[in-house]
Formats: sequence, structure tokens, C-alpha cells
Amino acid sequence: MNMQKFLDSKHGKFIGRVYMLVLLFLFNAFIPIGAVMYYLHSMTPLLLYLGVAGTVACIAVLSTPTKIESNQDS
Amino acid sequence: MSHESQNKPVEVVNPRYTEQAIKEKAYLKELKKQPSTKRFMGYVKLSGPGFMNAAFTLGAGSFASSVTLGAAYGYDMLWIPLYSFAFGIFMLALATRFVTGSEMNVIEAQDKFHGKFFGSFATGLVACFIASIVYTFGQYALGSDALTSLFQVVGLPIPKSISWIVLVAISVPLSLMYGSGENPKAVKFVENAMKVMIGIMLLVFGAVICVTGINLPAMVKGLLIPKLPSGMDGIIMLIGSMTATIGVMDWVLFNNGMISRGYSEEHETLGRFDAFFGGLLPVTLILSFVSIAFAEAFSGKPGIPASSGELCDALVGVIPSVWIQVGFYIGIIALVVSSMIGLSVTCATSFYQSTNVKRDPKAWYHPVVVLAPQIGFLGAFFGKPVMIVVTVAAMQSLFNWISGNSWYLLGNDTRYLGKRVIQSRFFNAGILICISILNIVFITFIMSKLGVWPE
Repeated sequence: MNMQKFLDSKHGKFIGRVYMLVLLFLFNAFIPIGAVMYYLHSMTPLLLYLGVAGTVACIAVLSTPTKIESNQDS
Repeated sequence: MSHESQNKPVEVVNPRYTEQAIKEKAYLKELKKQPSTKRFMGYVKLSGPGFMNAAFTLGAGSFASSVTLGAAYGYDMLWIPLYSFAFGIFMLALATRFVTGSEMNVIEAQDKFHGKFFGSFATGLVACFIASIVYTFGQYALGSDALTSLFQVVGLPIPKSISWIVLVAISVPLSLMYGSGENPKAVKFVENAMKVMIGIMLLVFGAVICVTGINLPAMVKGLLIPKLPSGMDGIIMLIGSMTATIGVMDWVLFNNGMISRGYSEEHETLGRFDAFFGGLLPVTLILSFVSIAFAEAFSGKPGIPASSGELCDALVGVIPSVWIQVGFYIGIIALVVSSMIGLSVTCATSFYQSTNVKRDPKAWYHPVVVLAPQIGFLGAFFGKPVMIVVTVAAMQSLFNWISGNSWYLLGNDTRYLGKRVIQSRFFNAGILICISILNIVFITFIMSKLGVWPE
């Protein structure tokens, strides 16, 4: 699927960028929570790594620029 | 002049159509064809909103953070102001795009495209209007302390209960002059006053580190290589410093500064230049100078004072020259006054943009709105109201990311920017990194309040 089209068209009430921003927030939240689990409670670093990887992936997707002709219906 | 015409509300002309703004636009068009050195000097001459932003950022909060981080961690935390402003610069570039790409102000655009909760309420009233009033208490507390200490150095026993009047005398006229906004010459005058204050800060804090000494390799390492502070106190200090350096108030102030100067499509490069040379550079230099002075004087030594005020007095105690002692306090006063002007301007502009009240510089309520933060003079008597400041800081850390997300969406919305919508992956990525930092700061703040870290 065309990423730009997904980001700039409506899916239900919101455009794709809004859903991706919520996802970015969740992955961002995993970073400090995962850091506390790993560094202070000596638990698995999985959540921390997931947070970092998810943040990078979301930024890569969300940085896709809007196509000027589209985004008019959003 | 008849009584009727005296009471008639003034029609505020859009600053981008004033004679001066149109001349500036033509000059910028010509400047683009000039060689790089001439272009650089031309941009320096026209810069202004970036210095306003720097002057605003350099306030009691960022000063106290730099003092305590320098004393506690030496050179290790110098990266914080540099990195937080460097990522924040993408938001300032976005603010520039909004002003140069559309005539609709950003809070109005947020209201229109995302709803009044995101624009008028979150960005305007909470993150800017209320915060600008609350944060002035801290400026008065630090400023009146510095004035009283300055008077003591020159042998005048003037208490804090009187010295705060000096702060009012300097900040009120400049705030009113900038806050009226309808006169680009007055705006430029205040911007020049801010440049002078930044110059004073650079000079006096530079002189202080000439006395305390500087470790250049440690400075370069501290500036470029991020290192996390240890323990709960360190994390709280880190969060405080990051939010004190750049946040939604800084973006809105920069945005409104450009509107007041009549920026239009020709001004985008100037806006970016200004954010870097007027904002990032002086902020990083001044906060680094302050941190270095306290790192050299106190880091690694036992029994250092805990509060920034006591640390300042202790630092002055080790400076042998009376002139540099005086200069140090003058630097703090310049830092406080410039922030107070920025807070007054932010208070007024965010109030008008968030409410249906018409912005009329001749109306009776206009000085009240501009000077509302001056209630912070009570800070000279009672200090800053810690519980209120903590509550507002929490709300700001929440609204920073709400506004950040909304601004990112506007930057990618052709309904607002038309063909000036962001077309660069790098620009978008920078904005998203800034938003991620704000998200992490917010979550960390919540976790610290939940007591997730052990004391």
C-alpha cells in the first residue's frame, strides 16, 4: 500500500498520521518504562529495545511528506 | 481630536503589509542574489525574533538548572541546552513555515482544523497564558535576590521588598512597547534591547569563567557526548532543564515575534537563520558559561550548597574582582528582565489569539493583559509558589506534546499551508524527534510522580 496515501487519507474518524502519532507515543512510552525495568529492576531489556525500534520505525513512516495534490479530503 | 475619535478602537494593520515590512521583503529578494558574506551580514542586521526567543529561554528556570547541573555534575551535562535547543530548532523552523506560508496565526489554525481544545485551550490558555503568569514569580524571586546582592556589593543595603521595583521599571515599558505590536519600529527597538541584554550576559558570564577557569577538552566532551545523570534527582533535573530550554511557549513566542515583524514568504531563510544564530548559539553559549563557572567552582567538592541562590552567593565569594561580582549580578538581572518581557508578550498574544477579545492597543484592557504576569512581583516577597509551579510544569509537559502533535499535523496539512506544506523528509523527521523527546519527558515526569524511581 502507498504509505503517503495511507497517512493522508481518512480511516474512520482520523487520517493515518493521527493513528501513527498515537503509535509513536506508545513506543516512546516503552523507552522510559523499559529503561526502568532493565536498569533498576534488572528485568528483560526487551521493552526498551522495542520502544527504540518502534520509535525509529514510526518516525521513518511519519516523515513521509504529503503529496500536494492529495490531502484535500482529510 | 474629537472625544468620539479618541474612543474609537484602533484598526490593527496586518504587520506584513506595513511599509517597513514591504521594504524588508524587497531587500531580502535582493539579498538572495548577493555573495554569502554580504547575505550573512544582511541577515544579521534583520534578525530579531530569534534573539527574543533566546532572551526568553534564558530565564530563571534555565539559569537555575544550569547552576545546579554544573555544580552537581561538572561538565557532563553541558549537552542538555545544546541538544534540546537543537531539536527544538525544527519546531522553530516549523513556526517560521506557518508565518511565511499562511496569514492565519497558528492557534487559529489549530482551532479551525483540530478543534478549540488543541488551539485556544491547550496551546493558548494553558501552555502560554497561565504559564506566563505563573513563571514570572520565579523571575521576580531570582531578579530581586540578584539586585539586593548587587546593591550589597556596592555598599547599599536595599532589601528585596524594594529592589523588585527596579525590575518593574525596566520590564514594564519594554513589554508595553513590544506588546502593542502595531509599530514595527517599536518592535525592532525592543528586539535590539534584547540583543544588548544577550550581549551583556555573554560578556559578564564569559568574564566569570575567565576567573573560575575552563577545561576545554572536558567542555567539548560535555557538549557533544550526552551522558545521563544518575539517580532520581538527576532525572528530575534533566527533565526540568529540557523543558526550561525549549517548549511550546518558545515556539509561540517565536511565531508571534515573526508575525509582529511582518514576516512573509520571502522571510523563511531569515527565520531559520535567526533561530540558529539568534537562538541556539547565544542560549548554548550563555548556559554553558554558567554551567562551566559552577562546575569549576564546586563540582566534586564536599558540602556544596543545594539551592541555586546559595550557589550564586558562594560563587561570588570566590570571585576576587568586585567588578566581575557586579557583572555577574547584572548578567542575572539582564537574564531575568529579558525573560519577563518575553513572558508579558506571550501572555498578551496568547490571550488575544485564544479568546474572542479584540486586540486593540488603545483599549483600556490592553495594558492589563500585557502586564498580567507582573503580578509575579509577589515572588520577591514570598518566592515562587512551588506547588503551582509544579502543577503548571506538569500541565505544560502534557500540553507540550499535545501542541507538538497538532503542529506536526498542521505542517503536513495542505488546507493550512497549501503548496508550502512540508516537502522534506528530514524536516519532518526533526519535528518527530522533537515530539518524541517531549513525549518521553512527559512520560518520565508522570513516572517520577508515581514514584517509579527509588529515592
